[in-house]
Amino acid sequence: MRWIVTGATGLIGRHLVPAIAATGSRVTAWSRTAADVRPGDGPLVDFRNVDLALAAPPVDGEDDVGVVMLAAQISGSKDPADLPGLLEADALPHTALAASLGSRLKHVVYASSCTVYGYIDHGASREADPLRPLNAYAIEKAAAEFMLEGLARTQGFGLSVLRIAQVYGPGAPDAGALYGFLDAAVSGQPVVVNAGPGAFRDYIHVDDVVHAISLAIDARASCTVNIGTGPIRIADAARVALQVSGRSDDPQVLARSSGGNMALDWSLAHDRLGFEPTVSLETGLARELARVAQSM
Amino acid sequence: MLGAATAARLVAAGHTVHGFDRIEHAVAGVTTHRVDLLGISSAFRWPDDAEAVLHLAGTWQSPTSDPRGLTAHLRANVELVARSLAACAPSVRRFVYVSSMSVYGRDAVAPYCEDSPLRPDSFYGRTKWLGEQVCRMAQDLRPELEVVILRLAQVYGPGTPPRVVLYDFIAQALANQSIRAQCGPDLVRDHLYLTDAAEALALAIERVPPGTYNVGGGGHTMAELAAAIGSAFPITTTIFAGGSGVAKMVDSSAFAAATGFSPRTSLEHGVRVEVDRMAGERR
Repeated sequence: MRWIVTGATGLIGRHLVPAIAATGSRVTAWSRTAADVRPGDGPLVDFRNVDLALAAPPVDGEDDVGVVMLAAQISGSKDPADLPGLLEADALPHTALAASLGSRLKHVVYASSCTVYGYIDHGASREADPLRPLNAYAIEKAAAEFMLEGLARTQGFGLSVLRIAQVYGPGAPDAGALYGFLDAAVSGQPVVVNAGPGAFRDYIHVDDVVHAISLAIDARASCTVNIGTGPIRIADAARVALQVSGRSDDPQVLARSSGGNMALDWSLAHDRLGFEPTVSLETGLARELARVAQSM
Repeated sequence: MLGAATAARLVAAGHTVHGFDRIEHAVAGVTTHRVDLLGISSAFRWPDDAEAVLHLAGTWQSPTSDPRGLTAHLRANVELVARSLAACAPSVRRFVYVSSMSVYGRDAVAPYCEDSPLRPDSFYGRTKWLGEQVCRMAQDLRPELEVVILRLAQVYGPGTPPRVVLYDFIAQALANQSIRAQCGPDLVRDHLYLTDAAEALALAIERVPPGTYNVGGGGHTMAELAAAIGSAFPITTTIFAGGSGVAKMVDSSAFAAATGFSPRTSLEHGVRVEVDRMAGERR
């Protein structure tokens, strides 16, 4: 079966596309940024410059198709004015794409986000927990889940919704907290944590995300599952950044409120897909260390 | 019709009201503007002197299962809320969003309280829930904006869409002098008459403290509904098919405590008005 991947040159897509091709499946890779097209991914990969917000091109052929929906506009905005644009970049065109494929479409894997749960006080979010979307991006993700669920029921395709924790790894934006810790650690600066000592998050390496999506592609299970590694205190993540950088000092925890807690319980993903994260934060940050040091 | 009724109530209380809709509705004392909010630019703002916005725009119709229906529903019930909030200039101090008891979902235990878990299971309920999330997010960004969310029970009355089972019962009674109900007699539902809903919305504009409130008509059984309809006819038989259903009813005590609101229209009177209206339309 051929797989269409939207957002094919983003953080996850750039690793996922060759992974799917390596299994022998044809991949139609769509991205807004033609400059990132990489013809070296092999004869099974067909790159197309596509901006979903404008229009999805017709999908040629008559073969069965699956779609991995990665395209989205990531934003931390809470401004209602930003929501229409976010819907135009993800929920609306992905729904239209799925509908346009008709009976050819056999399965969709949709990349949702841990942000649909909002902040929690303790523990880890489970799939049946009430949603409290954190921002416009999270509202848009919840809307996309609802739209695709509605369409899947009537059109008859399988739907795997993966609610993914905070992704890091090659290609990740340098603006995240983990990269801030690594930057400071490598440059000899104090590593500062702008959060309370108990504040926690959930970080997952992109290789584990690609593996989860691959499992969903193989299983074609209709389910909504969390993909994460579980809670880790932000202060401990900073400590790991220091350790992989060869430093023995501790991070400075300013105990200032900076956002809230987020973490995912991934046990359902284990039960339904056989998912288990394999890249520890220590291993993942050690891999990133060389890239961060090189960029300085 | 709910918008027109609420506007009339606000005008009668001395407020200056501007009405915005895709369709022209003449309401005495209301300055009406024909506008499609989905087509406005990001620079659009509510009138400069607007102090409160009542957001009633949206669609109640069950979406068709095709993508155009789902998209239209999402845009009408979620994107419109976002655009309406984005159009609030600093002069707007209060935003009232009309939500629905459908945000509670099938698993909720009636009567629903405002802090009952929200697990909407219909697409309509999910879009109304998303609209609430947009309101909550906007308030996070702008804490001085007073956001009021009203979760209304099923509104009925002159001009309301005849989509509720109440109208099906009336139509049957008018046609056959009998009612066949696909439920048991003890099944609980909650209907709120149009003018009572309008009064609640006006109170939400005028004085209820910011927050989320249920507003219902007090709830009734299907047997009570059938009896109310039957009282309008010389002979009416009701046959209940039986079966278990899920009670749907809100607890309105928080709104009542905050405003003194109490529905004035009994089920018997509201049903009688609708029976007379529908009978007149048939003649």
